[in-house]
Order: sequence, then C-alpha cells, then structure tokens
Amino acid sequence: MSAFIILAVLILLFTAFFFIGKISETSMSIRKANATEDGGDSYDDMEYVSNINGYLSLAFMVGFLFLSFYGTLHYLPRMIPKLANSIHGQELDKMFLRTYYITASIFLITHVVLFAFVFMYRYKRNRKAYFFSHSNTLEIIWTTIPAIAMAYLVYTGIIAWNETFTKDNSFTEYFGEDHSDKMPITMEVTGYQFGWKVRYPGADGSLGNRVIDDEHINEFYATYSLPNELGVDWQDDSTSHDDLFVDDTVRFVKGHPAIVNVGALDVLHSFYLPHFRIKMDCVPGTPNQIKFIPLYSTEEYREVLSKEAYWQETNEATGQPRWETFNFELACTELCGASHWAMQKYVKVYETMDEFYAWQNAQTPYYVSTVEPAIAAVDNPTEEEAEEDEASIEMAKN
Amino acid sequence: MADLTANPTVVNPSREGQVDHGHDHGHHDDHHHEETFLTKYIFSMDHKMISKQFLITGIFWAFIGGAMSLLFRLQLAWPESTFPFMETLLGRWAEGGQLSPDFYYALVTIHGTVLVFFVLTGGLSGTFANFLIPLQIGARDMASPMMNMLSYWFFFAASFVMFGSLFIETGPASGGWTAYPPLNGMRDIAVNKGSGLGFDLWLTSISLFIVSSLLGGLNYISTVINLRTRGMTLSRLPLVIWALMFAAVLGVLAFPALLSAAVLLEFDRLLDTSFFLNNIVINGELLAYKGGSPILYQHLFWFLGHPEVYIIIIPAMGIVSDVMSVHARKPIFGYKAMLISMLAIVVIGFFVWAHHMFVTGMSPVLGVVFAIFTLLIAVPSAIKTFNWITTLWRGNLRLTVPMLFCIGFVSLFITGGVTGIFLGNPAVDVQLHDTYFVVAHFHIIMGVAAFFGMWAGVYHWFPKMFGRHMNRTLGYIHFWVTMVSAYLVFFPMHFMTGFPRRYWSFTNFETFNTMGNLQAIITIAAFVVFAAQILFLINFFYSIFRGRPVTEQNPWGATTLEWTTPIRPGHGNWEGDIPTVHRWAYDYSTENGDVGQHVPMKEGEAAH
Repeated sequence: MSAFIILAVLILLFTAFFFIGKISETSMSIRKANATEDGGDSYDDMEYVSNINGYLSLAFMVGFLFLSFYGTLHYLPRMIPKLANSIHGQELDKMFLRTYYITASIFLITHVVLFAFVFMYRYKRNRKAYFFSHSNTLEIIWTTIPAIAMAYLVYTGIIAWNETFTKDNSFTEYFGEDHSDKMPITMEVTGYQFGWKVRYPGADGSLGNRVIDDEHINEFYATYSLPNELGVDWQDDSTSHDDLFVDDTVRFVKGHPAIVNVGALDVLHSFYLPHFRIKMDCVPGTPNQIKFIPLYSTEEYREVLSKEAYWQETNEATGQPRWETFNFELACTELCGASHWAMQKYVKVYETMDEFYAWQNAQTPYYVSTVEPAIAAVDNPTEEEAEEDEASIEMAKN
Repeated sequence: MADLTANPTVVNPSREGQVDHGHDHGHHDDHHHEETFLTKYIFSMDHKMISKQFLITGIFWAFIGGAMSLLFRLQLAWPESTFPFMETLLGRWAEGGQLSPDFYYALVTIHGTVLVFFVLTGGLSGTFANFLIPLQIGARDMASPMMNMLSYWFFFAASFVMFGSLFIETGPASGGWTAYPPLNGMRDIAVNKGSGLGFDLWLTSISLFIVSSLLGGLNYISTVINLRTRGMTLSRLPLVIWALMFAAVLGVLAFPALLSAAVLLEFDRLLDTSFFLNNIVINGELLAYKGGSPILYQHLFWFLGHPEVYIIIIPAMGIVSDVMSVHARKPIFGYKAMLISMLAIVVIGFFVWAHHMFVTGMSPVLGVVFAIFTLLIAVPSAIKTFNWITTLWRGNLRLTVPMLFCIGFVSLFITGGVTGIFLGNPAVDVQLHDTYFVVAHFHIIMGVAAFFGMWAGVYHWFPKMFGRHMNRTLGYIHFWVTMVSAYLVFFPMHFMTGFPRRYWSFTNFETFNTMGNLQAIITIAAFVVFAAQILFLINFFYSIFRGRPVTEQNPWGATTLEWTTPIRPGHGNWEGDIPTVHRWAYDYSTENGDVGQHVPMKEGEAAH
C-alpha cells in the first residue's frame, strides 16, 4: 500500500513540475510579445532569467562553501583518528595537510571568483561584453604559480615516500633517526578468501621457509590430510617448528620496527592498517614487504582518544565509553569477492618487548600442536593403527 | 590549392549528388523518396541520426546504471534494514529484501562499467563527435558513413550482450569494473559468482565496445583532418572539435591495450594459460598456473584506464569552452593556451597510468616517476580552469540552461580536480588508495563534471538536433536540483577518508562505523538526483515531439557553422554550397558585433 502511495506522490510531483514548465513557457511567449530584448528566440526575457539565476548562483556559492568547510569540521572527530600511529604515518599526514592547505585555498578562491563573476556579469540588456581574447602575461602567471606549487608538493611528497618505502631493513637512518638497536618484529600476513593467515616466528626470531610447489602443498596435503597452503617446509627446515599461527589478533610492539611480509593465496587482497597509514597489496605468487614503527601502544592510544568528545560517548554495544574498548583494526582494501567487506582482524600494540615475549612464550607452535601429530600418524602409525593396517593387508592378500 | 580542399565535390566525389539533399525536413511532404524508415532511423548513415542513436542509447544506460547505484546506496545507508520491494525486483539476489553481497558487487561492477564506457565514452564522444564534427568543420558527412554506422551497431551489440548478462543464472560480472585477475581470471564461480558466464559476456561486450570505439575514433580523426571546408584551417577549428579529435586519438592509441588485456584474460580463463596467474592456492590445493603476473594485467588495464578518463573529460572540456563562449558573448579566453594545455593533457596522460598502482608493491622509483607526471597534469588543468573563469570576466552572461551547466562544470572540475593532487602524490595516496576519497574524487570530476558537459551540449544543440526547444523551466529545475544534490552525494564522501570502497557493509568494523547517518544523507541525495534526471528524461522526449519549434536559424546567436544550415538539416547538411570560413569561431562582441565564421573579413579588420 505504502509503495502505491509513494508512487502516486511521485507521479503527481512529476506532473506538477511538468505543468509548471508548460505554464512558464506560455507566460514567456506572452512576455515575448512585448519584449525587445536580444536573447535569441529561446530567451526573450533574458534579463529576467539571468537575474534569478545570478542570485541563485550567489546563494549556491555561500551555501556550498559554508557546508563544505562546516562539514569538514563537524565530521573531523569521527574520521579515522587524525593521530597516525607510526613514524612514517605522521610524515604522510603532514604531507596530507600540506596538500590540504594548498588545495583548500585554491578551492575557496576559485569558487568565490567563479560565482562572483557569474553574479556580477549576469546578462544586462545594455551591457556589451568586453572582447578579451588572450593575454600572455596572465597565462604565464597561472602556469608558473601552479607549477611551483606542484613542484613543492611533489618534492616533499617524494622525500616522505622514499623514506617510507626504502628497501633498507636496517633502520639505521629511518626518517633521520637510528632505530637499529631495537629488535625488529618480522612476521607474515597472507590474505585468502576471506581472512588472513598470520604467522609469527618463535623464539628463534626467524620464519620457516616456504616452498611453493606441488610437493610441499598438494602432496603434503594428500599424504597427511593436512592442508599446507603456505607451502611451509615442515620436514627439512626446523626454523619453522616454533612458528606461531595466530587466529585472533595481529601484534606489534611500540617503538620496534615491524617488518610485514604480505602475500595472498587465491586472489588479490590488500593489507590495510588505517591507523598506521599502512597499505600494501597482497598478490598471489608475488611476495611484498612493508615496514613501519608504531609510536603508541593500544593503551596509550586509548588514553589519547579519551580526550575527544566523540570517543567519550557511550558505545551502545558495550555500555562503556567508546575509547575504553577501542582497538586498531586490519581491513582488506582490494575487492576479493563476496565477503571482501568482512576481512576484519584486531591489531594490538604492546608497550614493551617483554609483554610481546610473554605472549609469544605462552603459545603452542603450530608444528607441535598440529603438524607433528599429523605427520606422526602417517609415518609412524601407533600400534593399533599398524595392526589394523596389517590386518587389512592380510585381508587383501586372502 | 585551398580551393581543392574546400570544394565538396572534389573532397567527396562519391556523395556529389547529395549536395541537393539538404532539404528542410520540417516539410515532410516533399521528402526524398529513397529513404525508408529502416534507412533513415535504424541503419542510417547520416551522422546526425547516428549521433542521436548514440545519445539515446547512452541515456538508456545512464538510467540503468543510475538505478543500480540507488539499489546499492540503499544497502549502504541501511545495512541492517530490509526492503521487500527489492526481493520483488531482484528475486533470489535479494532474499528477504536485503541485497546479497554477490549481487551488490555485481551492481557496483556493472554500474561502473556502463557509466564509464557506455555513457561517458559512447554516449558523450559518440553523440557529439558524430553530431558536431561534420557540422562545425563544414562537411556533408563523416569520412566514412558506413564505418560510422558500424561503429554504432558494434556499440549496440556491446550493449545487447551486457544487458543480456544481467539476466543469467550466475549473475553479471561482479569483480569490479577494473576486472582484476585472479578474481576474474578463473572461470570458477566458487571463487566469485560473477566470474562465470557473466564475466565471459562482460569481456565480449567490452571487446565489441572497443571495436566500436576504434571505428568511430579513426573516422573522427580522418574527418577532421581531411574534410574541413574552404578556409577552415586547424587554428580556426572550434575547441570542441579539437577536444573530440584529441579524445579520439587517445582512444585509438589506448583501447588496443585493453583489447589485448581482455583477450589474454579470456585465454587464462578458457585455455588455462597463465598470463596473469601465478601460484594460486584454493581450498588447500596449488593450481597449475605458473609464472604469470596479476600486476601485468593492471599495467595493461590502466594503460587504457587512465587515458580513458581523459577520453571522457576532454570532450566535456571542449563542449564547455564553446558553449560558455557563446552564452558569455565573449571569445573563449586564451584559445591557444586552451589548445596547448589540452594537448599537454593528452600527451602526459599516457605517462601516468601507474598512479593507480602505487600500493601494488611496484618499485618505489617507478612511483616517483609517475607521481611527477601526475602532478604535472595539474598545471594544464589549472590553466584551463583559470581561462574559463577569465572567459566569464566582463562578459554579458546569458544564464541559460546550457550556460549554467558550463558554470557547474567548472565548479565540479575544481572540486574534483584538487582532490586529484592528493591522490597523485604517492605519500598521500597510501592512506587514500581504494577508499571513499577516491570514490568522491572520480565521481565528481569524471562522473558528474563529464555529465554536466554532456548536458550543456544536449541543451545547447538540442534545437539543432530536433528543430525544437527543450522546456527551459524544467531545464533550470534539472540543473539546480542536480547541482545541489550531486554535491550532497559526493562531497561528504571526502569525510569518509580512509573508509575502504566496495564494502557491502561497514558494520564489522569499529573504525569505519563512525559516520552515523551520513550514509543515509548521501543515499537520500542520490534519490533526489535520480528524480531530477527523470524530469530531464520527460523534458527530452516530450520536447523531441512537442517542444516549441525553432523559428530562427541561429537561436543562440552563435558563430559556428552548424547554425548556417537549415533549421532541420537533411542528409548533406547544407542546401547549397558549403559555406567558406573566414575567421575563428569566437568573434563575439567585436567592433562589428557578433560575427559568424562564414562572414568575410571586412577591409582593414584584423584577425583576432
């Protein structure tokens, strides 16, 4: 029923507009009979319509500029927190602000001038337009100024970009400071439909080798009934034996370089940590790497947010202020299929390396919990199973 | 020698007889006998009819694509609500009245594809290149009317295949309009529903469209180069003709790269080759694809994909330049600067494609190169903007509907242009890539702005196309409602900086679930925009048949050649000889008043 009412209202509305149009056309031809204006046969009341639209343009300009700047301020507290939680992220944000100040001024000035001209020079019967076809001086001015602005932005941008993506993993000169004394955390994130496989090294600090071939993936799966999508070399490489597979939360440590190897199993994904200003595509068959140094632990970041009005409001789900339950998040930003929107994981930043070690030591390596038993079950069957096997062989013989 | 290029019988001897064909079609009684309904309206070789075919097909697709966006906007605004009408409309794609993620992604994909290719390339270039090139350069038709007809019918076939793909069991393509492999590289509907038959049809449709675009483009270029009338030197061409030719050059050079990508992608899908696939593990099993690169596809795609946005925006720039000049009663400011900046955009536009790929893991050094070229493009764009604004300065602005759309275009071009400076800078792009900031940027600059250019053209040349006027009150309502609500749709998306695009729902994330009712505001504004387009549709079709007839040959007081033809020109455009051109297209408000291009120079009068 309500659908019919909506439909009826819409049809009435369009009919009304249509007749307004028809009527104004008729009234125009009445005015036209008395008019002497020069506007071509479509617009003999040119001064009248130009006036209306001139004022409308002015009103639009005021409303538009007000709303765009007011809206920015209004929604600022709800945007992804302004405070970047990484050394390079703060540089990238400076770059964003630099660009914002330049472009916002261009936006403001050109809009005011544009609509002011529209209003000031709206059609007047007795006005004659000024024949002004070119001016090399003007062209040179507004070629040079944008060129200088762009050169400045591209220069500062490239410096920040090069520092962020330097291939050097020693962190001796990372944004002008030496971080090489801090123990880096190397880890691996692999996207799949629809989630992330997160692997941390164990006490040895290094991840086990991966060999992506038939033997290590398909044959391993067929032999031991245990999927090995990553192709980890469980049998010949003992560094893999203390590797941790993490299901819930990705973990980093404040002030310690994080070196993340990103990849994908099936289709493209993209590893996105909004608060850390980190984004790197995960490409099947092509390993990528990204690194950063977190600046605040989760606790410290909550502390910062607790001072902002939006984060002080109560979270309806938990009944607590928003900042108290705040967590960093990991998201996917490359369309990867029907549940692309659901590839969420929490991210935690520890205050100290000790907290990280404590967590690390409390975990059971995947090899111990899952791989070893699976291999043992096939290679060294238990007595009962062995007997069963023998029995079945006997049966087959008979 | 100049006479040779100008004499229509010499230039195009095959259509010598058509000189007489320029009948005023207002008198249908003494119509030439050899034209049947089929040759006049369906398999027409008259560039004017072909242009109308492109326009109406474009409008059809704009409404399909627009309606799709309304459906997925409903989902984004109220992700936890159900809309029973959606189940009525879409059946199992919206069980219980909620859009399924599979179909959400199909809608997003087809919305992007049809608007970029069918509406803003086919509908914009196809319409105005066909309509304006012969009329403004003084030619009786395109260099090859047959190729021109084929160009439309390939477009029609592409449309037919794409439309058909909406109704198949596994649904249309749903891997994004950029169609990245491996998501679209395997014919496996377990990976992605739309990657089955739907994507085969998508590739077929796009390949047909590329053929259409190439046939059209080659024709536009050769027509502009060869069929100009006597006196129409290159430096006297109206800017819109330059723009349409540049867009055609871009298309001819860039579309083949997409065709090769499409063919190789189909090889991967059907013949199990590995051009774009490598080491793929699905359900624990390593597939046999070896040695390809998904990134290679992205290079091929964006080698077209980026010039494509200029293929869309440059014709709109051209239309705006000329329409603005007519209604401001002033020459376009800095004709040469406009031309050079357009050329600069065309050339540099070929060296910026990888700015879509800053975070794919490509070498940071490459990122630097592409960043430099990308920000360089801001310079010619700024020149054009300042020149448009200066064109308004001390004009006598007739604020007609087409003029308002030109002004709106400049505003949108600025708003959408400045955000490009953020995205072109790799250091800033890291955070913004694939987020709503990008959605806001390209919808404003190549979506809405290009549409504004198109509407400026439609409202301006409608009297020439159909011999009738559009209702201007409805036009004004159309403009103001669209201007306000289109900004309401896309401007707030900047506030969602860093929110990933192509999300069916943000409810899983605390980080992206902070904007309260902003999504709802955007959706309501989108419905208002769409309603305004229905008003345009009514106005357009009503005016074709019942609009106020045009009574003057030159209703806007323009200087270009199309207004020297009869009010309803027949095939061949001019009844007698094609006029000779004596001056540039912008002699407005000179000492001698407004002077058409066909008017000889007075003694002692200096060229501009």
